[in-house]
Amino acid sequence: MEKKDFTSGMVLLLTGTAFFAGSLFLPWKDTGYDWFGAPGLVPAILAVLLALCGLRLVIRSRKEHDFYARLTAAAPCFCAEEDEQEQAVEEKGRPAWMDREAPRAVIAAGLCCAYILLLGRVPYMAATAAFITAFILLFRGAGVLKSICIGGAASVSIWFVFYKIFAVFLP
Amino acid sequence: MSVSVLFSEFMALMNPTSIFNAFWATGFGIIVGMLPGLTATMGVALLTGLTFRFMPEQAMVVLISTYVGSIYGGSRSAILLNIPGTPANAATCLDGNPLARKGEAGYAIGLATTASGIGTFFGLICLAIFSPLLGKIALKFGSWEFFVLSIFGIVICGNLTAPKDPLKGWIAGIAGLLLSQVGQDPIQALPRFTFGELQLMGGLSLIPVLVGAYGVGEIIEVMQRPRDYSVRTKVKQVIPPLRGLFRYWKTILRSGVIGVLVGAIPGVGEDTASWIAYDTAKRFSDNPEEFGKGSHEGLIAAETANNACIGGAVIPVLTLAVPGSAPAAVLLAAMWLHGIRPGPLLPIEQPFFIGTVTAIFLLSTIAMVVLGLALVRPLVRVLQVPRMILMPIVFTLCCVGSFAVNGRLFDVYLMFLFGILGYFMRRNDFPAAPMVLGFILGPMADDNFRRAMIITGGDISPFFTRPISIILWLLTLAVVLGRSTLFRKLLRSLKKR
Repeated sequence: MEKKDFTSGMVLLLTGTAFFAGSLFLPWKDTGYDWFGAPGLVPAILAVLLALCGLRLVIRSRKEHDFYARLTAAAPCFCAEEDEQEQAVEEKGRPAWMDREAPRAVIAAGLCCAYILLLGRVPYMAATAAFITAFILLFRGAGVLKSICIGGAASVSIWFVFYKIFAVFLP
Repeated sequence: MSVSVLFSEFMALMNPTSIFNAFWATGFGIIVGMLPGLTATMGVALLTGLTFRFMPEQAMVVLISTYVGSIYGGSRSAILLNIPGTPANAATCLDGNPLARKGEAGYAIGLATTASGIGTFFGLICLAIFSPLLGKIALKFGSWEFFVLSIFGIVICGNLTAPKDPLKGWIAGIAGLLLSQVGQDPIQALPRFTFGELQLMGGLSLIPVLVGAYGVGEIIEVMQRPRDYSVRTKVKQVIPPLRGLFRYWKTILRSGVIGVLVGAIPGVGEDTASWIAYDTAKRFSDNPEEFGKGSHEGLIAAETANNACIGGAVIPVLTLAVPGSAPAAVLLAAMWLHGIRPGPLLPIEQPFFIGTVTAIFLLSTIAMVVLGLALVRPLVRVLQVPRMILMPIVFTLCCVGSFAVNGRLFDVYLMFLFGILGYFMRRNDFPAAPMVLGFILGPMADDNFRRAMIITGGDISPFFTRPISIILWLLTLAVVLGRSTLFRKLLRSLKKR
């Protein structure tokens, strides 16, 4: 976690610095008020605060290597136990990537990204049906025929409920 | 607020449309709450976009019913799966699941349902009594107090939603405040951080930000877990255990008060309320050794508090335009979208609105208890739908919800970006609630800070000398110092002396 904190701290430090620089480029004099009415005042203060917090995170991750260990030791766990052993369902015969967190997250995010890029370029129902079908198939939620049926039924239902009944615009 | 106003507002809601909307939205909320990974905030945010074209009153019926339903619904998966459906139900797992393992799943569900019903009812009574009172105090707030209030909200929310490391909570809050500065500034309408992009002129829209941070982030998080879960506990008939329930009337009352008080604190929310109520119930219990092993009292405490918190969280929304919890933040945004202006002037501009909201709470409480007790077995079947089928459908709904408000694809892309940001925040232990609260309070903080500075000609002393500001600063200072290691060491050394 300390390593993650270092990265997060650096990102925050850079973001804060970038926002501070951006706020300096905003008009400070010709605003009709003095400096205290300038549009860049509040963003500048917030950017400095963010950068300082980021710096604190970086320093802590470098100097206090046992920060999280101390926290865990000091505070007893007061949380619900997830009894994974007993409740988990084993899915046999699935590819290796499905047992690892990172590829699963990347594929889920990638599919979602592909879907939003399709919206507006492909008719809504077709894009939605394709996305749901591909998602179910890739994560082995159902067989090919069942996935297509679920994808098709879901896209038609969403279109009908929101466009026809709720009168909501669809992408 | 008089009982007659509440009664007349409730009777005005007794029409087929409102009843229908309350029941389906509560049912939807229960399902959202039940499904691990989908939270109350996400459910309310999703329906905010989808009910954009509803009449304001009907939209409020849908959103409040979803809020009430989802906080209650999380208890189902907590009892049956030992996984809290929403963070608000984490404390419910401790005694709900052991009861289910003893073969008392139906009894535990009945107990949770009635406790949640009583909790919501307690919350709505407090909402009706305290909103007008707080509204009167809020009328004394000037720009100085509103600015300090927003800082207080961020600090306390960051502190309580990141109990391990408050620094990360405060960072999330500051980041939310900073992100809200994108777009035209509220005083001179000068563009800030827009890079000449027309789509950014109006600022980052709240609904895509919320749906992204809570919805898309959660979808990716749920999908990355290699294992799925299934219900293995059998649910027998559920009978409302009134006699068993009223044995614990002191616990119910105490948890209700805790729920409302925690709810009224900006941004803190139902999860904190249920933990505090659970812990307090254990301290005061005659049988503390039963807690964690299937204690009825523990289950009642957690479920009463998290639902009472809803009423508490809506009190500052209506009176100060400051949300008491993350779902209440979405509710606030929805009110703005429908042309309702919560805040100190609400009782003057729309004198019956607080009564309407209270009556909606009452209607949704009835819907929750009826659906909760009547649809036990069908609702359990929802938990058996695999997440790989459910999540893509939820994602498409997130897209529709984000698109519906402004009708532009830019908001869908924004939602996705905030989804990725929300995912990384979770992975690095940064809570999303302070960011959302910061995003809501940002324009208020900016506008009031600069307005106050312009009024006083750059003099910052009124921020520290006006009575309400002093109280808020002292509370903020106490929260920050209370978490400081140096301060704690100092206290310990003073105690030793």
